[in-house]
Amino acid sequence: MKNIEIAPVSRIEGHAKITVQVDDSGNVSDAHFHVMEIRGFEKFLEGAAVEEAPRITPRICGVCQTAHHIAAAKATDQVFGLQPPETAQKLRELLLLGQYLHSHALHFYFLSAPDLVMGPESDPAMRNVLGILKTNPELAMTAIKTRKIGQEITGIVGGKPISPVTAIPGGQSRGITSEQQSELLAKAKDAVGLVEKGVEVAKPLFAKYADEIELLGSVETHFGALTKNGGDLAFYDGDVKVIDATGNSVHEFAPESYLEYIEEKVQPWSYMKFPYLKQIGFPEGNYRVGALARLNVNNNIPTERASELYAEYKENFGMAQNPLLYHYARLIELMYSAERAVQLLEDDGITGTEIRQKLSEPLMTKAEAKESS
Amino acid sequence: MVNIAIETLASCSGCEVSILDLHEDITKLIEKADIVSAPILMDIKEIPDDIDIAIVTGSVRNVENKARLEELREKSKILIAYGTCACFGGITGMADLYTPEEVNSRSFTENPSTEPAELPNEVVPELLSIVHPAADFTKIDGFIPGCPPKEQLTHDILIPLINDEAPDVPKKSVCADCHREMEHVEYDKIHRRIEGEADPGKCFLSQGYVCLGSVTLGRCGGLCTEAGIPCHGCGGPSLDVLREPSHDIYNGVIKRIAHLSKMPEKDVEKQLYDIGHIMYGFVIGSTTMEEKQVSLIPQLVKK
Repeated sequence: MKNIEIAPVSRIEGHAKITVQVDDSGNVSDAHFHVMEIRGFEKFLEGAAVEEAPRITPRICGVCQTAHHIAAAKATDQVFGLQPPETAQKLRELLLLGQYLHSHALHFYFLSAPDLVMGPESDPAMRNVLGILKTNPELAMTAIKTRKIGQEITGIVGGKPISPVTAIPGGQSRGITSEQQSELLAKAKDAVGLVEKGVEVAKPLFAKYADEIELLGSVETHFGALTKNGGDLAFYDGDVKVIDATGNSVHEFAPESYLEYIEEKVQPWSYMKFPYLKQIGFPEGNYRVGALARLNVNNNIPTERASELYAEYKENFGMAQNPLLYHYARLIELMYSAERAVQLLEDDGITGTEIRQKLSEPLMTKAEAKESS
Repeated sequence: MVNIAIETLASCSGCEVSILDLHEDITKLIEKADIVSAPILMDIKEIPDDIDIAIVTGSVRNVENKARLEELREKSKILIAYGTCACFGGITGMADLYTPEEVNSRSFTENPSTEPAELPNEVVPELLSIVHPAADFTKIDGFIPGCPPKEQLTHDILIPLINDEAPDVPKKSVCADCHREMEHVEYDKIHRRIEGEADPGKCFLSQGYVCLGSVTLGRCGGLCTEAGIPCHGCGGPSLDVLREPSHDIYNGVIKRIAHLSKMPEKDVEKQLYDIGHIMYGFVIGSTTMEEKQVSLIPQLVKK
């Protein structure tokens, strides 16, 4: 028996190790993905004033900090019984789109594309974004500019590009002016063009590696994603829908009810726990999330070009199971993000000044709270 | 060419993203520098020899972090602690508000979505009993705090360093970047940040909200206060707090609230809330901050 180790796993966010167990006849008998880190946010958030959660949780991840920020803000909306006004919801959606533009561009171009662009057999020392900068500077600039627009949106709508601050209990702490609206609208339109360039480069690569896409990591799972209006792709708000490997709906629930549907399994060889569908059990109830899942669970993308790309993708792949298709799905979502940002910014409602529902009564002190219970 | 390595310890990778937020200016970096190791961006698995400038991000949370940090120190001429976690322990340090058993139990044993299980112990690196900044284990040649350091700051420090020029380093607190006006306003109540509505033109301390700007190192542009949110100290302590043994985040904020509001310091202290997360949140892991005689960190930390 042989144990092959790949450490650290590179071109990911976070710390992981892969071990592959090979039997005496030289066949792979097992393989494991070990998450090598844990920091304990679930515990150390306890005792914090809850309105600090949107400031603390973004430090869970420096790539998707905005998603944590907004999720925490939504949770505090519920804790305090507040409903963000419409403008605040639009601003939060726009803020999240800023993240998708940066994060999907980061993932596709900076982390994954080197394998597709340079080729999986190429020199590892060159097979990275810096290699792309040297050999294909135009593609690198497309990537950098796309990401930059995302960060600029987050910076203006969220206060700063990494770990934004404006989503607060009941809404937003700051709106945007019409000057900012015009500035961001121009950038969002640029982003649509930049993503189109990316699609032009990527599609032939997906065709070139069609066999690898088919063969690598082939697995069938359930999928879970947010959905809205009976099947629209949704990032900010919606219900959670879970489907099985053939596309049949298994669950549909409001996000707050997650504990009734999702459980986590501990394995002794990884700090990260494994979520699975409670009512089905582990491991049959394993499910995937993210871009691949969102495009499988839903059936409509409410923006023009992304919708065209989606139709083409669905025709080729149907219910997409192969992991490499995440990259294709991600590009389609990148197009949606740019187009949806344009839609939000073309609507003058985005500069509305009703951006927060405040507390209607003062908070109790600790002493008062003790007395009342 | 200058050889640069970027090593990520117990980090969220926001610091790495902040370097990528140089955007097109990344070309200025790679004109003169070769990035010879950066696991988040490239497939080099072993730390190479002959590193000129090593950048380490994240705190030291487990034995693997410690080992990689020490190896990086051996193989590099200049080692820079980049980001508040590497400099002061950062937000990871909040875990020290609880015992390791309490932290582990919350994830694996007493958790509403999980069947109770032991703390994983196969293959994964053992956790250290407390969180450490990089300087607890190795000599650090330079500190760039920030959560993450703003791209302007990164631009003004990394690019000169690579060109062997003296970088322009920040010296003032966040107040120097903030545009709000300080006023003496007599009040007797400190508000939680969700209570009421703050006037966007006035200093938060003048309005009874806790803001750490005066005790936090600036050059972040005061972006949070600009966005309507008080500073929570993510840039690490100001130079004044770092240099003066009697100056601390806690007593600094109390003094300033007392001064602006005319409240006696004792009354301010009584009303301050959630000191662990709000006052010391980003520096609990810092030995420098803990060892100040006036620090409350020793009372907050469970060892």
